[in-house]
Formats: sequence, C-alpha cells, structure tokens
Amino acid sequence: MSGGVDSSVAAALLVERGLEVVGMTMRLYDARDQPRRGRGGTCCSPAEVDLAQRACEQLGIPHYVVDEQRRFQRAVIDDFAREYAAGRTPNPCARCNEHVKFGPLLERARALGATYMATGHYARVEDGALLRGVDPAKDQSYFLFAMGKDTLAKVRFPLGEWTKDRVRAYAQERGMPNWDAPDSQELCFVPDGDHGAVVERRAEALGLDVGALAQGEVVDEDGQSLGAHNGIHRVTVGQRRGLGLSSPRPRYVLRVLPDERKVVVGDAEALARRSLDVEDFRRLDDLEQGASIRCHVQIRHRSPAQAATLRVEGSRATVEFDAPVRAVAPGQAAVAFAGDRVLGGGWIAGSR
Amino acid sequence: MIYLDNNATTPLDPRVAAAMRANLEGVPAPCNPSSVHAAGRRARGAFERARRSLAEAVGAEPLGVTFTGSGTESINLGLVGRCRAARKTGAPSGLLTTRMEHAAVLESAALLSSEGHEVYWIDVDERGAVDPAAAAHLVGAHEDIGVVSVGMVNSELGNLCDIKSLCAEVKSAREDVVVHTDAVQALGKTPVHFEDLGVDMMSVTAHKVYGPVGIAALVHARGLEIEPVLRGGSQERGRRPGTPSVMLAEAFALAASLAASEVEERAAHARALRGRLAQIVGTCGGLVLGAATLQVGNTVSARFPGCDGATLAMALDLEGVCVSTGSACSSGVAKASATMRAIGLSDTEGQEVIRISLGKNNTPDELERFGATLEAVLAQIRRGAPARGSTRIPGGAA
Repeated sequence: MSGGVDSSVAAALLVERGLEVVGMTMRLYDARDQPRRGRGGTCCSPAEVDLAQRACEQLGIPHYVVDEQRRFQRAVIDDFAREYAAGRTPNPCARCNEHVKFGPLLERARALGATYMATGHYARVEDGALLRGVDPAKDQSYFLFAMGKDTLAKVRFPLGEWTKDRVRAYAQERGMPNWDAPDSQELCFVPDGDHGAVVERRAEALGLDVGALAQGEVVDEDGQSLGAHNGIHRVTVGQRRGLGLSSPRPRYVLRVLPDERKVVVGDAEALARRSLDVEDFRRLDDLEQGASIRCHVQIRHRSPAQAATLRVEGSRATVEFDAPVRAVAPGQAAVAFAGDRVLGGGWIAGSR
Repeated sequence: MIYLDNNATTPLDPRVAAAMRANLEGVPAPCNPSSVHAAGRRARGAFERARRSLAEAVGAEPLGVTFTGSGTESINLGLVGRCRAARKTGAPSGLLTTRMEHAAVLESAALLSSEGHEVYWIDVDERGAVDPAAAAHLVGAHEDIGVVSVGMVNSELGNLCDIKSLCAEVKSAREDVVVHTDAVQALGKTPVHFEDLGVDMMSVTAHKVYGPVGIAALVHARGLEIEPVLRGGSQERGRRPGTPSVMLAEAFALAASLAASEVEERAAHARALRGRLAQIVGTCGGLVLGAATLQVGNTVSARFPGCDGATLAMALDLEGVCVSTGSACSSGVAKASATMRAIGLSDTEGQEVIRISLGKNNTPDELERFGATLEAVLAQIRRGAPARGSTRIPGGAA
C-alpha cells in the first residue's frame, strides 16, 4: 500500500468480501527529507506511509511498514543508472515489480501466512492468465509481464475490473483519507523529474564512467555536428525537445552512442522500425518455440499495441511489426498481447 | 493478546490507573504548581509530595529529583546538561560510555562530540558485559573525562551491570568524575537505590514500571551543576523549564513506590518464567544472546538464523503475540541495533533477532501458548506458505 487511493481501495474491496487482509507498505528509499508535494505525490514519504496507515486503521486491518531500501537500491535505482549511462532507457517500474514487489514482498506476505498478495494495479488475473485492466487509461499489465506463471498464481488485482473514476467515487463515498490524492506521474524515486541527477549521484559509487556522462556532440546521420547535449544519460530515443537544437524541422533522437558520447538525431521517418530483438523474454502463455505467432506488441506504457509477428527462441524473441513503429528505445519492455491477454514480454535489445 | 514486549512499555497498573482516574473526577482544579494563588498552592503541595515519594522509592533526596517528560529527556539533560555545565566552569567535560547504550545516550554523545566534547568508549564483550576495571583505567588515562554513563540494565539483552562496583572503581581512579546510570530498564526489575549505588545521576521513567507514558526523572546529587537543555522558565530549580504535570508526577511516584515494595516478588516471578521462555526459544531453534549469569531476569533476545526478525515479529503479531525486533531504523535503513553490533553481530545477524520481555502480568500458561504459536509461525515462515492453507482466507480466489 503506497498510501495512494488505488491500493487503499483494493484493500477495502478485499475486506468487504470478508477476507482477512494485512496492509503492507514498503519503504524503498529515504524520503524523509522530501517536501510533501500535495497528497499522494510520492510514495515512501512519512506522509504517504501515514495515509496507508490511516486507510488500514479505517478498515480495521493490521498495517506493517517493511524496509526494502537495500534491495530497491540494488535492483532498481542502480540498474536505472547503469542503463541510462549505457545509452539505454530503463523501465524501473517493471524492474521493481519483478525484483522487489512480486519477489521479496510476496515472499514475506507468504511467510506471514497470506494465501495471496493483492496490489492496486489495474490488471486482471483470470484462469492463470494476466489480462489488461478494463480501464484503458489506467491499464498496468505492461509493467507486470516479468512475473512468472508461478507468481501469477499467488497474486490478485482487485481493481482489474474497475475504472479510476469508480475507484475515486468509492473512496470518496467511504470517506477514505486519500480519495482525491493526485495520481503519481513520475517515478517514485525521482520526484522532481530530474532523472539525470539520479544517474549522476550513483555514477561514482557504481564505478560508471563519469566522464562519459559529460557533455557531448549531437550529430545528424551523416556525422555532421549540430550542437551539444548535457550527457547521454539525459537522452531517450524518440526525444524531440530539450536538445537545444535550432533546426527548422523537428529532429528526433535516433540513437545514443555511449562510447563516442554522441547522440544521433534525424527526421521522424528515420525513427521508424519494422523489427525488434528482445532479450530475457518471459512467457506467460504456452508459446511454441520458433513458431510465428500473430499478436499485438506494446513497446511503451500508454501506447497502443501494434499488430506483429512474434517468434520466441529460448529466452530471446524477435518481433516483426506489420507497419513500422516509431521511437523504439533499447532497455524498454516489449510485451506481446493476444487481445487482452499477456502472452509474454522481454527487454528491447535492438531494432531495425 | 499475549504481551511480551514489557521492555518497550508496560501496561498501566490498575492501582495507578485508579489514582489517575480519581484525579480526573469531577472538574479537576487548575493545576500549575508555579502559581501563587490557592489553586497553585494546592498543586504545589501535591507535586512536592509526589517528588518526596519518588525520591524515597529510589533512595534519593527530594531536592535531587528533577521531573522530565521522558527517559530520553532525562538522559539528555543528565549528559548534555552536565557536560555543558562542566565546560563552563573549566571542569573535565568529556564523556565515557559504551556502544550498547540506548539511543538517547548515543545521540547525546554525538551531540556533545559535535560541540567539541571528547567522547570515549568502553569496550563490551560478546556477552554484553562491561568491565569496571576497563572503565576505571580509561578515566585514569584521560583527564578530560568528566562524565561516565553506563546503563544499569540493557534494554535488548536484559544484562544487569553492577553499577555500584563500577561507580566505586571509577571514582577510585578519579574522585571528581560524575557517574550517570540509565536505570530506565532497571527500575522494578532489580533494587534501584540511588545513594547505595553511589552514582551522581540516574535516569528513570514511569512507563517501564506500570506507570503512564509522559513522565520521567533525572535523579541527581543535590546541587550538582546541570545546564538546562530546554530554555524557558525556572521550574525544577531552573533545570527543566515547562509547566510540570502534577497528575503524571503523582502517578509516577505511586508506580515507583509499588515497584520498590514489590521488586523482589516481581523479579522472582520473571526469573521463574524466563527459564521456561529460554527453553521454549531454544527448542524452536533460537539462539539466546547474552549470558544467563548477567540476566536481570525478564528478557530473552534470540537470533533465529535464516529468519528475518521483522517478519517473525509481524507473523507473531498476526497471531496475537507482541514482541519486538533486534533491529533499529537508523537513517531510514533497517540494520542491526547498536547493542547487537556492540556484541559483535553483523547487520544480517542483528536483523534475525527478536526480543521477548516479560512483565509482572505474564503467566506460565501464556508462555506455553506463545511456544506453540512460535513453533507454528516459524514453520510457516520456513515453508513460505500459509500454515492454515486456504482455510484461512475463505473464497480467496478473486
């Protein structure tokens, strides 16, 4: 329970169903010094922990705060820094779900005697399959692909059939303290949105090449210098703004070359990709080895899945889109769907 | 609920509760003992009676009792207030203490250090024992040590330190050194007599002896120069500004008097239960920390290798058993507590510790039920699955 309205309502729905429910809030990083920015802005701050505690008190259920700071640092924040420094675009929410939330936290829940762990994610589990949440604006199944089938059998998402509006209305009717808390928009550990600063803070401790994070050249596809960037870790493939270019036509980041500290930009058309290489692919469905599977593949949160042909070979997969897709960022997740059902997913290694 | 966390706080004694209730009956009179009028005089009378009664209960003079709001405040006042006062007069103003003291001592030491006071440490052994000779040696070797602070009973291990001997040895090394003892965990568990111990300052609090939370005291040699830590009025002879709570002081005095008169029977009760408790814990694979010979008699801190103490404490709580863990949340990150580290445990080992502390209300039957619960909960944790399976959450499938 983050202290936000989603997890609080999820808990309330389970209590309403007569289940024995225990609230748990993870402390993921030291947020004590962060100013409280409205209600529900960031998790882990004392104010958010307090909101979760109040929600549990109102529901008459126990509430515990568990410390996962070390694990979160290692598995999520440090990975985030390494990925950006390598010119990739990490997906910390999916990493957290895999390595913290649906890993150690679930283990702890089981150790406490829980049959299931429930979260406020907008997704559904039906007959052992992971499905999209019914609210298309809130669906979070994209971030959940990395949990295995075994894990899926131990989790529940009570909000899967709900829309956000209905969740808020429910919370308001019951006088829940966080009913109107704003949705979190940013990464919880980057509350000011300055993810570059997070990378820089961790760079030295992780032994990353700090020099590589310094300014470098922005070049076009012919290698012509167009200006300077503030560090490759501040750049994402597909990005248009914030490069400080004065070009008559819009220029997009096509590639990041960490070794040369260069960022390659070009026209929108040059961003188009037909195929992806995916690594560390997890199956949530029985997918035949080497077979061509017709499905839809999503490569970003809140972007529609596109018709494609998926071929899985061991832990690697390739995706051929029917029509070109734009802004494929290495490090992001590629998740395959059959309708609402998640077939599996992995991390984008490269694209053509 | 089986309450086995008496070192954290104790339930209010019904006799103390009754006295407090009587105080609140009807419309309680205005109660500021500093006021010159009739209401103030009545309050002053009651307050000073409470002071005399508390002084008698702990073997001190009434003028050597300064009420504070908590044990932590009492320790801050004693250590910070005394070292600052010593520096003003040019007396030795350094501090000598151990690394297994309560956070109030350790953080006071950190504050003093940041103000330029020297802080020295007495090593403790792996049982958590403090060697008086080592303390005396350090006092002899370092002329700038002005205050020595060693806890009488460690809150996590339940170790009893022979403060009387330590005080005598330290003072034979140097007569002018001021000795403080944190007796917060000692009161009610072992006889605590300020004059007999020979110390100059002693911290005690009500809520560890079945009194209310919110009242404590620094007991000190009459006339000892102590700088106030808080700034304000001249209450408590200028040592502790702020309007005192007469009702809480009276409740503390009563709780301390009961502790003094019942200490032998309470200690015998706890010792009898502790033997069985240590046995239960051992049977369940717990390694009891510290040494039985050092025990005040009510505490079992045990490490369950491979088992996270926080998870164990939560799982026990869900079964209605209250214990605490051996870890502390310092700078936000859970790690082994200062005491666990002082006796040589790693952060990982320290996080595998739970503390079980007995009180006068615990019964042999409760211990047997605790034993059964502990066994079941440990099995559940090791299996990583619910002990009662799906019967626990009927219709769990969403």
